[in-house]
Amino acid sequence: MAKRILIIDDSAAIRQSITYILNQEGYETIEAKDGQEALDMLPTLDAIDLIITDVNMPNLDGISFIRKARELVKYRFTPILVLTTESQGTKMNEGKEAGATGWIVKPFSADKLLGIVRKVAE
Amino acid sequence: MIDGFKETFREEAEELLSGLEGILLELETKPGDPELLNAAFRAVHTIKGSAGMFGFEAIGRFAHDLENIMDRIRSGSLSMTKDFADLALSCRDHIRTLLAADEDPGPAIQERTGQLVEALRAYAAKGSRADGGESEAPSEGRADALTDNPDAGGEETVWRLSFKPGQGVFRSGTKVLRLLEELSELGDCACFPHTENIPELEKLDPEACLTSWDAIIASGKGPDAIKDVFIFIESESEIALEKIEEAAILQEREEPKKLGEILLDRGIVTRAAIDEALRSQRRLGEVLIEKKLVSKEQVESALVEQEHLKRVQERQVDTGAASIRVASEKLDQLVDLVGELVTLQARLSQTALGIQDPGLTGISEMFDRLISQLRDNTMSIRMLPIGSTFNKFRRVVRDLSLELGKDAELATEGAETELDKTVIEKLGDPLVHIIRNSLDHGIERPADRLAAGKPRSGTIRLSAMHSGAYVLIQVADDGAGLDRAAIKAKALERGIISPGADLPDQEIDQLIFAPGFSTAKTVTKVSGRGVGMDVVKREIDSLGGTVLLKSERGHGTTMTLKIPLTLAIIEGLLVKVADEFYVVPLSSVDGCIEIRSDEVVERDGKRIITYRGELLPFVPLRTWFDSPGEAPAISQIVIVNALDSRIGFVVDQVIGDYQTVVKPLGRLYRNVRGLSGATILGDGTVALILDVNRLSQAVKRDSTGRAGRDEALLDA
Amino acid sequence: MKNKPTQKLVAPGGVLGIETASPLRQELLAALAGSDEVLFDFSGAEDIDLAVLQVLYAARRSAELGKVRFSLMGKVSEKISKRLQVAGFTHSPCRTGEELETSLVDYGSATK
Repeated sequence: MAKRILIIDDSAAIRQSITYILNQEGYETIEAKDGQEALDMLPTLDAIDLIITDVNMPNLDGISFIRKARELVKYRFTPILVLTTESQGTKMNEGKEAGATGWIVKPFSADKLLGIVRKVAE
Repeated sequence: MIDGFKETFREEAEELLSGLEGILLELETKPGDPELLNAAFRAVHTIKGSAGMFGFEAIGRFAHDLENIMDRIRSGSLSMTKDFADLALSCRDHIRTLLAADEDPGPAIQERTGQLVEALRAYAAKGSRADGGESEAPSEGRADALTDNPDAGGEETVWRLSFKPGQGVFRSGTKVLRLLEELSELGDCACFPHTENIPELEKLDPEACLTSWDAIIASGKGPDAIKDVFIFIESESEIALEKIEEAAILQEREEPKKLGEILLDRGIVTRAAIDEALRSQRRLGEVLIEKKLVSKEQVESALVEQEHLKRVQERQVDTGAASIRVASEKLDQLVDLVGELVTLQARLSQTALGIQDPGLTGISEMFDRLISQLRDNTMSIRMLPIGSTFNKFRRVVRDLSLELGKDAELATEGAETELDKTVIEKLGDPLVHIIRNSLDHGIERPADRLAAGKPRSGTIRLSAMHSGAYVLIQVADDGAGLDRAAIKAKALERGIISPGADLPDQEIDQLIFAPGFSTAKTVTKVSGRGVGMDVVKREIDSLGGTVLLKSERGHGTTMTLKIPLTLAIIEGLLVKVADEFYVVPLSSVDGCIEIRSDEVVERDGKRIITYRGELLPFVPLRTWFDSPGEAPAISQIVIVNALDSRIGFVVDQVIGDYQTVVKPLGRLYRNVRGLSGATILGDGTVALILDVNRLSQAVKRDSTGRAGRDEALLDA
Repeated sequence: MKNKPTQKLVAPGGVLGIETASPLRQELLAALAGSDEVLFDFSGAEDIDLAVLQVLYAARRSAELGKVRFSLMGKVSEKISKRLQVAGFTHSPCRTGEELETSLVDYGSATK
């Protein structure tokens, strides 16, 4: 069964390229453009195998999103990856503390993305 | 592969940059506003984060510097001074330049990058508060999980790994078994779990990780690759990696060797020892751990790796996104095709009407509905909100008022108003000209404004709204209004009007659209670029739009552009002259009347008819386009509203409403005045689309005796 | 003393992930408390997490203490078999619960 991945990023270019890479590998993807939109979607989605979220987003940032998602029974243990950039070493820790499983450092290649997705979602 | 998204990134970055511009401009008026600072930071951060992924490394590095400073300003460790907005705006412009330059920025651009980076650093140094120890910690080397090309060196090494995950790793969604799988993908690997910490069920915390491992792995990928497997949980886990043995391995391995073979090759163990271990009643793992050796079937894990490689190679394009991006030519083709359908449908309904078959009429009507839905849908794909261009104008106003020593603000309204993408693109320049003009000639200097009892700062209001098949775009300023005396004097000086001409105000106002007209006493940098309002007018005309000017001395000027929603399809009135078909844009048609030759009145050499109690000039198209043959005894006159006046066109026959697709004219017709395009009718005949405004102007000019065409006109 | 030995079947389905560890623990606790033999059927399980594997180890320990038989049975999915082998819990592919019961490293008193 194809794994289902929720992608949250306010950048359509990032969202679409992640979607593209993942779809090619047979993953199903769902996109949300910010933390709030994703949070609103969560209760209606089922069997999400992985969430990939950006940190800096309007409405609801990635870190707050993770905290809120972890409060939902359905998403207590769902792997969550944070999209971050090198300059944000603190964001990795903040993300981990909020309950993230790991992080993806931008910029990333398709292989790197897939490697990390496999690491946490397979 | 990611290259395919370059265009999306570029568009998005453009959007972000145009948003950033607005934010920075607002920040200038509200320095230090935390929300604006955050928004600015976010925009730059997003660009920085994405740029590197789409091949714009230079932007990534440059934006990084800008981002740092913004981050420090918003965190309060750097103060925001007035010149920051200027610097940030220059940086923003530079990012745009880099974006356009793509991967190959020339030396000039690179130099500019250097200058701006310098300026940013200088700003940071100047504004630094006390401690100054703000230099950002460089990202740790291994923050980058999973090296892209982990095959470093290829020298195979045997490692001993001890891995004790933190108890809480499950709670962050970590799948520990998966990590061991990943480890095994790095090379020949054997894992030995320790489960002694698992208590009986009653005492078990089911969400705590209580298992640990020892593993032996032979891998050429280096210690970092091995540690990277556990990178997400390394801070909460105990991980120790120790080198056991290093030895050169065959350069060209065709298939991964088994660890046992490697160990045999190296003389670390003998075949007998392994066989013995395998025969032993004790568990294989225990024997091997004892001896610090390992041999295990690797078939499964080799298969996993093979499968994985195969999958990577067999990537196939899959569509699944909620929205798709299409090349605009494809859209144009679709619009063309829909246009053809529309045209064909028009013909079908006419044929159906002629045949009077109820079945056919029904089908035709249904078709009509469907096709107009299809048309609306197709057109809506090309619709974009005009607001995306508004920021550009805000910038124009800002930069210009600085330059001119004036104080003005741009207020916008109706940013969400949608119109055709091509129309929006073509509107940009004319609007900039109009706004420039307002600022340059309309808005007074602050002192003059105060003296006139107006607020110091002038306002230019840019608004957009829908009105039927049109969009009305208004640029209104609260400036001085048109100086009609000055306009008239200038027009005289330029020979645009003849001395003694008594023109109504409205016509004087129109003079500013005359070619070569400029009322500025000195040629300013701004309005004196040789492009005047005549260019604006021409461009709006080419969009099938009209310009309306209203001005009140002392109170300001309002310019209203009436632009069709789309260029691709127009509703027109199909008429026939001799064997030629013409389309008159329906939007400008006022009415149709029949005319007999005895109703014609001649006055001052013009042919005049009475229409709703008004005397109107008219032009026989037959004469204008040199069509062959004789006019019928009873002709039709189509009355159109051209710009500021009405005029009639005499045609042989009015056929009826027609929706048409506009096609550009070929070279043959390019020099014919009064045509704006062509369309193909259902039966393949070409119909020419009349450019009503220009036709009426040409007619007017000719009939006032300047060109030699009036004779032909009068001879008809 | 009961007259007839009682059996209880625990047969979870789908992916036995971390979220199923806690409810499974409860179910097994109840089963172990009220029967002479508890059968854990793998045939509905697609995949398994370490958390659930730990629950099985713990159940085996409890069963031994309480003198209850705790048996693994049913077809083991290829995915589970592979995962357990790669992580070193078994040394050869195990395709049935019975096989698994005798192969799991450090599972039960025989090796502990």
